[in-house]
Amino acid sequence: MSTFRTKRALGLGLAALALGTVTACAADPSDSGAAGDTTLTFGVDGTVPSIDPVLADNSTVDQSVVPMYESLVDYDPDGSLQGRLATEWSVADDARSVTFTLRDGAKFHDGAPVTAEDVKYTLDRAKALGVGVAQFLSDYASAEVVSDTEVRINLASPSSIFLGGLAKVYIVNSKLVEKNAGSDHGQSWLASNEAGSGPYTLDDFKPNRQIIFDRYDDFTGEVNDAAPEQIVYRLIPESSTQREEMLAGNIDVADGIEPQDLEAVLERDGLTSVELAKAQGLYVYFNTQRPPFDDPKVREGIRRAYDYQAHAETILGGHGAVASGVAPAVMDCRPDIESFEQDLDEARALLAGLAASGKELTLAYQSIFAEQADAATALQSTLRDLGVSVKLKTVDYPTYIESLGAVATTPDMAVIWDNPPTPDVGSLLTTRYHSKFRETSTNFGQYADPAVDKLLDQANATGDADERCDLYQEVQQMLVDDSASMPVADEVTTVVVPENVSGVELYPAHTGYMPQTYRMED
Amino acid sequence: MTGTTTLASVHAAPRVRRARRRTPWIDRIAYGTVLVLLLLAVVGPLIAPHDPYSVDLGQALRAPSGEHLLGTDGLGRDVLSRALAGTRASILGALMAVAGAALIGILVASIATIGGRWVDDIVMRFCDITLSLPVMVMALGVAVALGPSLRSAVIAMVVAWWPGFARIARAEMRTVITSPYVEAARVLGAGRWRLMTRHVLPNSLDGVYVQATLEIGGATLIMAGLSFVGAGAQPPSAEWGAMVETGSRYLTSAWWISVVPGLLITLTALAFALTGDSLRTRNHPDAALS
Repeated sequence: MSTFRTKRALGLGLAALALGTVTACAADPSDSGAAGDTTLTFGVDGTVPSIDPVLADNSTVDQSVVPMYESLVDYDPDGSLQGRLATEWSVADDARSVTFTLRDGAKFHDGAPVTAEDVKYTLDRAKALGVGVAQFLSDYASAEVVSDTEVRINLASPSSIFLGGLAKVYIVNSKLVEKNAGSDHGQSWLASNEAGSGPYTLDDFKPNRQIIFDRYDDFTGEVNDAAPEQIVYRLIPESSTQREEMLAGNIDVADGIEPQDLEAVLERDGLTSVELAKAQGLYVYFNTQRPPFDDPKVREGIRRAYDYQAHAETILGGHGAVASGVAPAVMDCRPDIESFEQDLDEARALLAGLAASGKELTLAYQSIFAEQADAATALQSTLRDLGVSVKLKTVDYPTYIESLGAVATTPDMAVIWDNPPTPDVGSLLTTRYHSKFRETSTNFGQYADPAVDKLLDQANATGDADERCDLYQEVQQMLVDDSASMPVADEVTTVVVPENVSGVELYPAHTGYMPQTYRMED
Repeated sequence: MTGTTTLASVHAAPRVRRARRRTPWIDRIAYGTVLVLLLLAVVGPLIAPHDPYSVDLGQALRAPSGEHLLGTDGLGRDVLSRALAGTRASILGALMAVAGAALIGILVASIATIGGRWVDDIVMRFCDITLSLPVMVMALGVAVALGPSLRSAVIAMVVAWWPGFARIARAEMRTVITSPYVEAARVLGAGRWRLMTRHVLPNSLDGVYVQATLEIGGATLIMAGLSFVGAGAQPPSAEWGAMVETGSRYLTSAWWISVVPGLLITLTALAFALTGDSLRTRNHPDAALS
C-alpha cells in the first residue's frame, strides 16, 4: 500500500500545481541530517516486507540486512574474496570440504560469542527452508563443529562456486533464533527482528516503510571510524518522490533517482553523485518450456524486434549500455559477444508463424520501476507492429518469484532487472540456466539444455580457474546462440550523496547500499 | 428577409417554450462541452492524427510543435492522439460506471419499496452502511482485489456508487407510491408488479437522471484517480489518469504529458457537474431559490 500512499501524495501535489498554487512540501526539520549529527538517511526503492537474512538473494533485502549481519566471506570492491567472520579458510585436497576459522572475540549483538555452532545452524536452516540464499547451498551436505571457532563444511560434490555464494549467507545467532523459532525455523520472528553480529544493530523496522540502524560499539571486525552513527532507510519506490524528498532535505542518500530527475537534484549545493557500473542488467526472460517460446527461433524473433540502442539512449537517458551477452559487462569470464541489434525484417520473418497463430502473449513487469514499464510498453508496441499481440501484466517481485515455482504459472515473458547472485559468473549461469534450478524461482526462463548442464557441472567441479573460465565462456556463447534469454541493457546506478560522504563503492556481491563503508567527514 | 425571420423565430421559439428563466450562459457552455466530449468519446480515436499506442523512442519528449501539436511523451507517443483516444476510456468508463450504479440503485429501491417494511429496513440500512464509506477508498479496495484493470475500475465504482442512487430513487418512490393515482390504481386491482412498472417507476426517476448527470463528473475524477494510483487502466492504455501518472515523472521537464490529460479531466468533471446542476435547477426551480 505504500506505493498508493506516495502516489496519492503526488496526486495532491499535482492538483496543487494545476491550480497554480505551487507550495513547497514542508520539510520536517527533525528528519534532515543537519551538520554535526551523523545520521545518514537513505531513500530505498523496492519493497522490504521481511528482514530475514535468508531472503538476501533479493538485492533490496540484502542491502537491508547487510549492516546488521556478517557472512563468513565477502568480495571486496577489487573483486577479491576476503574473510569477514572467517579469518581464514582452507579447502581440502579432494575439494569436498572447507574448514573455516572464525574471528576471535566476534560477538552477536546480545553479547553471545559467534561460534561454529551458529554457522552450522545458519547453513542447516537455509537448506531446510529451501528459499532465498538456499540456492547457493545446493552443494552443501553438512557442517561439522571442529571447535568453538572452527567449522568444517562438507560438500555433496566439489564446487568452485560454493565459496563465493557464502558471501550472501549471513550468520545468525542460533540460540536467539532457536528461542524464537516457533514452527517455521524462526522465519516469522526474523522477519522483523535481527540476530546478527554486524556493525549495526536494529533500532526500528516498519515493513515496507522504514528501517533504523544504530552503530554497534562492540563490533570486533574491521571498524570504520567515520561511519555514520545512525542509518535510516526510508522506502520510497518512486524516482520523483525520491527527488522531492532529496530536495526537501528529508533524505541524504538516494540511488533510485532516474536520469530525468537527476539534473534537478545535482543542481543543489552540497550534493554529488557517484556512478556505479553495477553487475545488474535488464532482461526479458521467456518461459522456454511452453509454446511458443520452446522454439528458439521465436525467441530470437523477439530479440531481433527490440530497439536496444534507443533503450539505452532514451529510456536510460544514456545512463547505461546495450547488453552484450547474458552476463553484465563488469563480470569476468565473458566471451567476446557483439551486442544484439534490432533487425525488424528478420524479426518479422521469424515471428510470422506466431503472428498467424493469433495467440496473445503475457508480458509481466514491475510497474513501480519506470524502466521496466517503459521497456514493456516499447516491446509491446514493436511486437504489435509485427502482428504479435502482447498483454502487459503488472506483478510485484515476490509474486513474480512465486510464479516461477511452476512452469504453468511462469509468464510467457517477463521484463526484469537481474543481478548475479555473486561476482562469480559461474553462480549466475548455474542458478539462471541449469535445469536443476527449474521451478525453484532462480531459473527465470525455466531453461533446460543437457549440453549446458553438462558444461556447467564440469566447470563448477574444476578447481582450475582458466579451465573454468573457458567452459563458462562456451556456455555463454551457447545461451546467446539459443536465445535462452533476452539481455537488454547493462545498468549504471547513480548514487546521490552529500559531498562530505566518501567511500561509496561497489561491493560486487551486494548490488545495493553498503552503508557501513560510507565515511562522513566534517 | 426570410432568413432573418427564420432566425428570429428560432431565437424566439425556445423562449416561449421554456420555463420562466433563461438558461445562464455558463450552463450553455457546459451543455456544449458535454456534447463535444461525448462526440469525441465516439469519434476521438478515429480522428487522432497519430497511432496513440505506437512507441517511437527517437521522438521521445518532443515539445508541442507542428508535427505533434501537443508534444510527445517519454516513449515518443503523440500526446494529442493519446488524449483523444483516452476520451473513450475515461468518459465511456465513467458513463458505464454511473449507468450501472443507477440501474442497480433503481432495482434495489424498487425491491425496498414494494417489499414491505422489513425488506425496506434491511436494504436501506445496508445502503446507509455502504454510504458511510468514502467512495474512493471503497472503489480502491474493490479494484485492487479484482486485479487492476479498466474493467475492475468500472466494477469497483458500480459497487461503491449504487447505494447513493438507491437512496434517491427510494425516496421518490415512497412519495409516488402514496399519491392518489397510485392508490386509485391499487383500488382498481393492479398488482404490485404492475403498480411498480406502470405507475411508480416512470414517475420517480427524474431525481435519478439528474443525479446521474451530476455524478458523471465525479465518476470521471474517481476513474482517473484509480488509474493514477495504478488500480485502473493499465499500460499502454491511453486513459487520462494513467497518462497523468506516466507524465508525472517528467513534470519538471515535459509538462505537456501530464497537463493535457489533467486539463481534460478537470474540464470533463466541471462540464458534467455544471450540466447536472443546471438540470436540477430546471427540474426543481424551488431548490435553486432556497
